[in-house]
Amino acid sequence: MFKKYLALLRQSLAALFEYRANMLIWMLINVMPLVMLAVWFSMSEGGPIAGYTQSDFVSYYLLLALVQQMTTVWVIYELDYEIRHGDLSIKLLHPLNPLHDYLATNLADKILRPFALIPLALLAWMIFPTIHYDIAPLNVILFVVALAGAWFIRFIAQYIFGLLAFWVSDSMTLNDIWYGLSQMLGGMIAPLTLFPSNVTAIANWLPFRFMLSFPVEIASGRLTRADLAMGIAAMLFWVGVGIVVYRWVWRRGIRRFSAFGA
Amino acid sequence: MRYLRLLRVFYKYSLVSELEYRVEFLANVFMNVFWLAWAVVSVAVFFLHTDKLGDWTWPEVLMVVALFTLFSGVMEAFLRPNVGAVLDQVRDGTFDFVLLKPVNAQFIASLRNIVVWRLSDVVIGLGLIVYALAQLHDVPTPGQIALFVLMLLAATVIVYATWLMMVSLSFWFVKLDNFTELFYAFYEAGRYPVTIYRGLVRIVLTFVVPIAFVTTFPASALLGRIDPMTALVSVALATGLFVISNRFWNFAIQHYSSASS
Repeated sequence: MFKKYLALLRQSLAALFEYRANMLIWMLINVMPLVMLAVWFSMSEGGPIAGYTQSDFVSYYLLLALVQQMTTVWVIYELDYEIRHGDLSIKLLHPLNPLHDYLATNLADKILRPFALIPLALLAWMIFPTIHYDIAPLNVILFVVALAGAWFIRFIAQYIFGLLAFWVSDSMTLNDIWYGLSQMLGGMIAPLTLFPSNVTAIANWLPFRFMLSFPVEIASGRLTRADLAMGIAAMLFWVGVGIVVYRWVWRRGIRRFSAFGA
Repeated sequence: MRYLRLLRVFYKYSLVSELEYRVEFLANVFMNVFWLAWAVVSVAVFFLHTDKLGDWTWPEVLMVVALFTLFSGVMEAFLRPNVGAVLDQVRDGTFDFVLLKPVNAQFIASLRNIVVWRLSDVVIGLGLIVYALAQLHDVPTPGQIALFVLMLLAATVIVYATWLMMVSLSFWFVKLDNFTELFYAFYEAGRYPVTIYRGLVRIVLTFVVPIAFVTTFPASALLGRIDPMTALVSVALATGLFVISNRFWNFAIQHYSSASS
């Protein structure tokens, strides 16, 4: 199994490396965190907002941008195309569940990204020397765990929406709504604590937080031990939900797909 | 005259083929409303913590948000399906058919298609503008409205010319196919008043990739606080860019080596 994954990865890496210029452009295109940073930066000029100074906002949004880059998923476009054009039938003939093929492609991209991200991160650090994170070893480990969790939840959610193409012609719209909600309640518009407290309370338990904001919250060092524990537990819960729902949808979807005698 | 008749034919065709997919039409309009609501909520969150954003008050910021949506509609309805599609046509080899038509190639490449449902963004944007003006208890004078429309037209021409030049450039560098995406990235920065940006960033967004002309300045015009100099520069820039882009386009298609020789 592991060897098959390595083979898939190597294939994907080679293919992706061809498009490295494109990849760089796609990465630079993601300016939303910078726009939001500009907003909060200008607002906090006169003083901290809800415990966030200008430097705090810079630290938050720069890391958020990095987390966003390291968790990007586009599998729904691939799936949608392949289901509609019947290409999925070819993948179904392979001994591995097509999910692994898509996973490997995405993972390969994540392996290549740090090469572009690290120079950008260093550049950001030079421009904003006051950015700060909690880099205690345990915290760094938790950050990486949360990052992996974020990637997985984003991936499996998009994959599930992609599989809905077996039934509806407009799974992309549903995914767009999901995306919109995750940008709002996942910490893009503002750090979650800046929402009204009852909204924050709800948002803390929704999956969106664990798709983007949670790793950044961990790195900021603002979470208490209890917060951390509850957060990790909630994240694992949503990872589990993702796997269960995916399995359920896949089984039903594949039955329906085969029924069309592709 | 013939060109006007052609336009009518083009647009009737686009509209008819779109209405065939009524459910999709409604779903699309719904998504536009969703994203506008999203933008309004984002501004609401900002204003939980402040009274002014970049010196603009809540209803004034809403106007910029509205313009962002409105102009997105303009881009998606008129620009993307035409100028934005030229590169795909070049790659497919179908661009030759455009060049073979007995009318001006730029005319066809620029105005052939219209994605009607995208105009819903224009309607929604206008709706939000009206709401924002109501909140300000402001009724714009005819002069301000005229200036607003002028600024909007100037913005459209500026963006159109910029895209046309980028497309013309891509005749030589065919791999530059995500240039429109690059533009959208800059466009994102126009979501909120350009005054939130400081120093170098604001200069870039005003003079290099003129996003300020697209969302912030028309809003200023409607609010009656645009500097006449700025308005003049807008029009001059639009005219200048149009002429340059037209020249460059003609130059590019002259040197275009078609798919079949």
